[in-house]
Amino acid sequence: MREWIARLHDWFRRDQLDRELREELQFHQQQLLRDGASTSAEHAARRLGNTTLVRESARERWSIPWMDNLQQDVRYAVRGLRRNPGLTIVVVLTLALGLGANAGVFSLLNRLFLQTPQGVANAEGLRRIYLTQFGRAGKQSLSNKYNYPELVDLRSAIPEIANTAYETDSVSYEVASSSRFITATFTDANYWQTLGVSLSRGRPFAANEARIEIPGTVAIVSYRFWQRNLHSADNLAGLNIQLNGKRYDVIGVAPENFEGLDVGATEVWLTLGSMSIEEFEPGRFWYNVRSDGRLQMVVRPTTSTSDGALNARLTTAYRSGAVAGGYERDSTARVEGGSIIGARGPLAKGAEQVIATRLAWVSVFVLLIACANIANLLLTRLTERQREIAVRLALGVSRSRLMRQFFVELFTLTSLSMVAALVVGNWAGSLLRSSLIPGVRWSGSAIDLKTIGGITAATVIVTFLLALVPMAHLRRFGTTDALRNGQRATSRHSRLRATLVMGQTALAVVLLSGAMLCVESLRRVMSVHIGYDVQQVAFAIPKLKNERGGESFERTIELVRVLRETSEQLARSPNVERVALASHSPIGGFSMMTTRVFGVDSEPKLNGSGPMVRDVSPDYMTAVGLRIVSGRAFASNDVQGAPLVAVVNEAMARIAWPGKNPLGQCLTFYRTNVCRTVVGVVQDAHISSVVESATLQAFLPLEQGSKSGGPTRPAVLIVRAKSGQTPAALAQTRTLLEAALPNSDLRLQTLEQKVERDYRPWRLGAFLFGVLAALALLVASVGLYGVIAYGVRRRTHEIGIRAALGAERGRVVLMVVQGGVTTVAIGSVLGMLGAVALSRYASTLFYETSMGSPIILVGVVAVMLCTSVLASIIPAWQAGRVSPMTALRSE
Amino acid sequence: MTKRELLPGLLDMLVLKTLSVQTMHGYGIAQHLQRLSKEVISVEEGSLYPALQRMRQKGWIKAEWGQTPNNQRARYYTITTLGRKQLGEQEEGYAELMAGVRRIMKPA
Repeated sequence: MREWIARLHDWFRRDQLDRELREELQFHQQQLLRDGASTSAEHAARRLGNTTLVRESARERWSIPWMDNLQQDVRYAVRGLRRNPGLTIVVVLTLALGLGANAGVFSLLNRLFLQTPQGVANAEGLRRIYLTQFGRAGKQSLSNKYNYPELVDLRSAIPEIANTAYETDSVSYEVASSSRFITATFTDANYWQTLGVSLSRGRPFAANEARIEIPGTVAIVSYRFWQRNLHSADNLAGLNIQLNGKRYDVIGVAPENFEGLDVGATEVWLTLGSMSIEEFEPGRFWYNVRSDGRLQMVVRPTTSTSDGALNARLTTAYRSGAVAGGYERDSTARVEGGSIIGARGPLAKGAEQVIATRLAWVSVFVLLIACANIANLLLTRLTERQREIAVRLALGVSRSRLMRQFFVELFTLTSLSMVAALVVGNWAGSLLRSSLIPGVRWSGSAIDLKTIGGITAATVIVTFLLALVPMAHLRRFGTTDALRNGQRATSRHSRLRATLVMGQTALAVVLLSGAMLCVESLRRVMSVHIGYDVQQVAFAIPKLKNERGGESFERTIELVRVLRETSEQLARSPNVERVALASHSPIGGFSMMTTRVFGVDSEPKLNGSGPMVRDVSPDYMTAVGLRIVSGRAFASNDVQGAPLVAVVNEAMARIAWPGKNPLGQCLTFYRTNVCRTVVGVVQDAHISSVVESATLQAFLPLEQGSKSGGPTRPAVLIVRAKSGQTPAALAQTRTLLEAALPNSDLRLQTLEQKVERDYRPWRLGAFLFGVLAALALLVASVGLYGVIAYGVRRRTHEIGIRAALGAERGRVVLMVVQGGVTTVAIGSVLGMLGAVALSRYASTLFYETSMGSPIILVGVVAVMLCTSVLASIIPAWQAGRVSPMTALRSE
Repeated sequence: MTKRELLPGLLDMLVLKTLSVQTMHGYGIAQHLQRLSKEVISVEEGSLYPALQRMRQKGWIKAEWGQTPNNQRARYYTITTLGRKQLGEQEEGYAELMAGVRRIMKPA
């Protein structure tokens, strides 16, 4: 080993060693002459002749034959590639895009699925605790979030095992007059110890200050936060920051490599008592109630505790706690530990993760297409060099030597591609990160060592796969045939190339179909009319704060007064067309109370859900743009004391009174027998998102909304702006509400902004699929062009004869184009079959569209047809210009 | 005086032995071997210099350019720790080999 390193080292400085040896030998001879050992001239001459021999045999020591060959091969390869810049660029770019797409996707998957949180000691030993609940009819639901009483139960079962609970949320960090949102982790005193993370300075939370009942006053900041915002202050004493309008003393700084347990980097850690905690009734806070799981639990089982034993203890504790707390249903719930990496846990994957996983397959597809294309180009090149290869073989160069040369050439190409791929990958990775999972501040660059390793491995595999092409070619290479036939290739050769193009086309068609399905889904989702005039309608929800900084759900008299006054002020504004008040925003909330058709025992149901009820003011329907189908909307005289009325949507009318006129029918609410007469039917509209199944809806007048038929308090102000005046109306609403309720959280947005989020996965799918499919098509058409152009050149002779025999130019052109179209057609059919099979697995990505839909089929066929015609038109044109004389002479 | 060919491997041992006493240049090594062996062993450049290069690559000796007493540039060779170890092994092997040869050549 050591000797080889020395030899390699000598190989690189062999010229110097040669010079040194010559000098050494000269010295030797001078000494010999001086000492008179060789006096005769003849002797001296003999010795002199000897010198060359000596140098030759010494030189063997620093020549490494295969290194010499390799150097030759590399030089030869570089020369060859420089002579053929077009081919080199196409191959390098194709492969760089193929590998780069994979690098980008890999870097994302790596971060989501493979990387344990940084800075945590023995992260594999941690368990995230998951909860499976069984609802009615065995319906399972899985979560990893617990309410506080549940957490207390779970903890009591494992007193000796280190555990911690946390919630991640964003808080506004206020400095001077500006503020920005940062990610905060709310946790307990055990956090740092359980994770095995020691702070770089300061102290962790003390047990007594981290209790949930005590409003938090202390904060630990991330290293980066400390550097950027606290200017790496050495002394933390007296240092404080303002978050959500409250001051916190900074007591510690996390180590540089630790930024929390989840994908988004945490910038500040606060105690559980700093969470925004709702107060349901005076003195009854969120943490007293068994509802609304928010805390995630992480434990580090001791080595003596098996996963099975841990799960059993946690499950028992959870069940008995739930039953004692009045949740009999949870006596069958199951609690178990899973991987600390959220995405690897049993929890249902988020849409982004599903897309990321699918993308991995798509990017492998692109790489395959790129490989097929390069194989094709390599074949073209080999065929062009037929004569050169034949001559070299005839001159006695061994096939293995030639093979080695091709391999070196290939390797030079793939290495160049790999470098380019890392650049592409870094860009693609950052793009994927920000588009797939926005709102998360990622730490580190997209390409890390693992990704580089992965891409290197992929490159090596690709190189060896591609090397099969020249290898197969050389093995069956007939020297005499090649010398005699010149540029004409065997038919076996073109069959292989046609197969490659078909494969490429098939893969491209699969991607193209995917892209078309995504685009069509997006188009359909975008064209879904959710029932409201989304651009014109805005809603405002002001919320008062309780003394714990949480939102108060109480609709105080003051809040209601402000809402009413503001609505009257806005109604007079020139920017506003109509104002309404409601219990819920049009897209968002609703209440579910037992709603029955008078005289029928069971509740009407659609898609498993009963009617969703909202209390609205008389102007609501007009304000949001709900069309009255029959009857009337609420009027200003539908007040307490007047006859009780209700309005239902079309679905409700259809389900509750099939075949009958719903007007004048009677509905009961709140498990009472008080009859409310249906006075109107409105069109169906969405209730929570853009993509949802139809729902039953009922509306009550705000003035009659309570159980007894009295008024209920509104929570939402709805503004319908005059056409084109939306921004002005929004600004005015904000000004009025903020002035009237200075100490409140105001949520104000148009319905369009509210549903924007729902389009995101569809947009993203369409965008990413579209880009990759366009790439695949481009690569496939380059391959197709290569094959057809080559075919035309090969058949110059034949075409010339045809022309000489009187074939028309048009026929010749047609013949060539036909060849291209046929190849693509076969590939497309195969691809479509593949797409149909694959689309079943990806159906969740698509909305109301499938491979069977004519628009997709026609679209795919049209695109492929255009591609094949475009790819074959130039060679066909050239074929048409072949003159019989040149063709016949071209041999 | 007929000159004898050296057994393969023997030259390495002789060179190492020579260098174990002091640092020398190539010509010096050749002279030293010739003198000590009373002209029986004559080392030609053709075998000496390739051998020196080989031993250098194996890490048994180090080569450095220096000045001779006459102020001429010459390459001096020094034995390394690895070289000394190698010399020890070769001496042992040589002794065993010679004992064996002697037993055959002079049967008791």
